Amino acid sequence: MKKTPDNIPSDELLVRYLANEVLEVEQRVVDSWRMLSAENESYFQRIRVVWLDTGQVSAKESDHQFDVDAAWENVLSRKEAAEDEPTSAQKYFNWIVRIAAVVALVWGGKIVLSMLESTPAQEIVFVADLAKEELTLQDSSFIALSAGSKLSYPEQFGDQRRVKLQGKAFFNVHHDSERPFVIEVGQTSVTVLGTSFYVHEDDLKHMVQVFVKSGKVRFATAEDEITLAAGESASFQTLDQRITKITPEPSGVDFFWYTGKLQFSDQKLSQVVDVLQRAYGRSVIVSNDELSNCSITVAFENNSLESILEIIALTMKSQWSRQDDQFILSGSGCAGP
Amino acid sequence: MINIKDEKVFEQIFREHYSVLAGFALKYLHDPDLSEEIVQEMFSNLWIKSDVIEVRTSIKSYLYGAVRNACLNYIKHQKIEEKYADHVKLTISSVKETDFLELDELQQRIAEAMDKIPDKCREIFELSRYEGKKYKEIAEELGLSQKTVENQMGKALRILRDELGDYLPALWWLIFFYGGKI
Repeated sequence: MKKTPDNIPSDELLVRYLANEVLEVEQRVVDSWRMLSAENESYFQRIRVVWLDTGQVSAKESDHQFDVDAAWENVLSRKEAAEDEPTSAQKYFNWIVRIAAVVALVWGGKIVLSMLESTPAQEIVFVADLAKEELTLQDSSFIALSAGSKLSYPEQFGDQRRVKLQGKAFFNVHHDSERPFVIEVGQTSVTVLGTSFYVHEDDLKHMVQVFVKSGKVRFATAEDEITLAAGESASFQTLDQRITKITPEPSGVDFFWYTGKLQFSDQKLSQVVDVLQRAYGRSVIVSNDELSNCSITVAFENNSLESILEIIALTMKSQWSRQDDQFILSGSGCAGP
Repeated sequence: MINIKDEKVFEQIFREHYSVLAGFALKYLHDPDLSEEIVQEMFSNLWIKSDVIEVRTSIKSYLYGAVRNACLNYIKHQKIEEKYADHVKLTISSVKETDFLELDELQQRIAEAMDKIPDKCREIFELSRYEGKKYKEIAEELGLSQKTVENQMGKALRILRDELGDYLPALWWLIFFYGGKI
């Protein structure tokens, strides 16, 4: 059955989107509509092609001068570089090797992988666009990516398992003592045999953090390296180029994107609110100092921010309210049960 | 048929078309370095694969089709890439997906479609599309409300889509099958 695009945004909105006249929220509306179905995306692409092609009758940019000689040199050297690569006859032979390798798979896995290596594996780029995404690689390693993060990895691993990360991820690497698993992230690399851990790259804060849950992990830059055991964590700062050990925040907020869990043991409400702001990316304030000095012991799992505030308000005999984008906790003091 | 495997012949084709093609790409990409990169990549690929690529229509319509395709592909993937990637890998799609394109015909079709847009509406569209002016600036310049500019832009897009929407993506089929005149 052929699906047709639905809920098509108005032409007015689409043209503003193309002309870059949209508010952030409108851009998100169009982006998520595009992602909803292949039909929507292809409808959009057709319109975009029309928009882009109209640029061809513009008089702009037509007087730009290009250096044809330099360009020719580039093309010439690319052609020469390509000639050093295997010829089509050799490629044909590689195909036979690959077919043989696939046949060999029937008898046993080990040889296959080393034989397949001779052909460069295709790189897959996995992007968790709007929400957390989970994937299992060909070697059975499990990876969870936080929204907005990106992982690239080869379709087939060779004698090393090498992936590239941008953003935050949790890894549960399948144990294979002969093939280390290497994650390249920013200027650092994380090497493991089989273990579970978090890698958080934060471009804005210029750092990469590694939190080990089980097993051992080697965290390295070009100059420095450290081995981390289960429960240990370290941070690399691009500014001073150093790796230092760190202690993760006891509430578990660092891993909240993956676990959905937060816990507080005799914590002041002011600290709790700081953690909630980090976890949910929303502004939360406590209306008076007396209340913010009260302590609370509580754990949450997969709650909405509203339901957490409701629980806190009930525990503290206080109230919560919302004004625009801000959540407010108010009450007279620590009137706990 | 031209033998593009011959270096002399290939260089001649390259020198004849390079600047125009880079200018053509520039109108899609607005970035001279990127435009040159796309065109050079296209030429390198054409040359490297000259034993497997059979150019069945005129070389010119192949070149324009391949460059337009590469530009559209680049833009299609740019949204995600620009958010995350520090460098963008350029890939030219295989020749099977390449549209063959007559630049004159493309420009003519667009000009005809533009002519269908009422004058005032077209003026607004051109200020936005070609001058890169913001709706606010256009509204001030023409003494209109921003809402009117928005409505007129929507109208212009609607007309262009109706005039060109079916034509453009299917362009290469047209040229391929009715290629006699090329």
